Amino acid sequence: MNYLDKLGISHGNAICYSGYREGQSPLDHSYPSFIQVMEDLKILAEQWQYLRIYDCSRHADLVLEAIRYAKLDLKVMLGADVAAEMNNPACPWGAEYPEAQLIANRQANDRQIERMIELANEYAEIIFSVSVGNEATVEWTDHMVPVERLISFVKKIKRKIRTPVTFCENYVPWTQKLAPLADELDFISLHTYPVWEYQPIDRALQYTRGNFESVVQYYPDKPVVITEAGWTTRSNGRGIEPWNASQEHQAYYCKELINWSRENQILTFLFEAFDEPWKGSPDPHEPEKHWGIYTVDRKPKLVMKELESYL
Amino acid sequence: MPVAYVDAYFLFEQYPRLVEACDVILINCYPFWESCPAEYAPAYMREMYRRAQAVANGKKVIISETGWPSRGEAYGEAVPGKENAINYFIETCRWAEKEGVEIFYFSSFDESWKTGDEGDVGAWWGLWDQHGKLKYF
Repeated sequence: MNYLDKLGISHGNAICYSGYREGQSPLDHSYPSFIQVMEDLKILAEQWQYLRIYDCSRHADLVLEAIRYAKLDLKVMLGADVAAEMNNPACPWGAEYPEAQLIANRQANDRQIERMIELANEYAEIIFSVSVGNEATVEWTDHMVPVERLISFVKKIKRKIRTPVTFCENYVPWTQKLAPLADELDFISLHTYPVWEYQPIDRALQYTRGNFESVVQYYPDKPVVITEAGWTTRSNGRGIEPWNASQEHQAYYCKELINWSRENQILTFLFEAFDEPWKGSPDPHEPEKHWGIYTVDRKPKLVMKELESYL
Repeated sequence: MPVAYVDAYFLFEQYPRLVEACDVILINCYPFWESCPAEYAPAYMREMYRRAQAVANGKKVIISETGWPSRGEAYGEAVPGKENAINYFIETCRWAEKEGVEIFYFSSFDESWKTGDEGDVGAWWGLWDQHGKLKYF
């Protein structure tokens, strides 16, 4: 039996979506409009069947309302954007918070999990899974959350809804640190980024396969999906060599990734739909801002030309 | 007569007024000086062109310089060499022809006087040597 059957879904094209355009940002709660989100989803619904979204804010409301309103054929993985519940001295860009902040974050995280349960109920026909967080346990994270807390989120969700539950994390913590969490989850979601680990393009897919296999071998009885993999098209040299970030490399990697994941029926969310200028440092060449397969103006990058024929 | 100004591709991203003022956009593209390994250099050069095109407001973009040195010291991961240089030349020309991109290849002749600021690679960018003999036969 294919592992996807256990989740009640079939294989399809999957992509991460976050619709913040120039001047918009979740940090100051400036959200895209309903019209803008609708415009994005209509572009995406042409080729993609699964979307992953990152928080339970107004942004999620807009996405879910738009899918229902336009009767789009899109199924959603809804994530919680959990905030730091502890300091992380190992975060290279700093993750020390006043105690009052950490307390407030814990309360906000609890509220967000509640909201996730509400949305999963309200949009049961659209939301095919929920995730209790994103990259909140990896060594370098700026929003570290104790594993026991994530387990408590999962248990709380499972008491109230039957939607499959996961947690989205870099491949490294899954082998060991997250074993107790994995026991509670319906499936495992991992992230793989060869380009952040200085891999050249011709060894990139092989690297991703290695990341994936390391987790699958650790959990032979659990479904494992990829909730982030992609290639940035610009870099200022911080963390990624400028020459390794380009539209050609993005197109090459994405094509290989989609071929491989399709052949092996591994649900794989491409990261990501549109460039997001609010991310990372203010430098316009900041790699974080350029992972989209479309620019922030919704113009297709080279990769879309390459993928056109077989998405 | 079209009037333009020549500079590195990224300066046209930084200064939109420069694009406004020029009739055509003349960009210099040197993966070598950004430590790019030779095998990825043509792809990176094409990315430079794509980036300039994205900010050119529909104006024509011409590559006014691009090339690879055949001798001299490595610059980071960018390694000079005869094979690297001729591969770069051939790939660049093939792409330019296919896409209809106009390029000025750098350079025609080796220039032995150019060994100051650019270190010892400065002298070895030519397709011909300083005596006018083709280097790649």
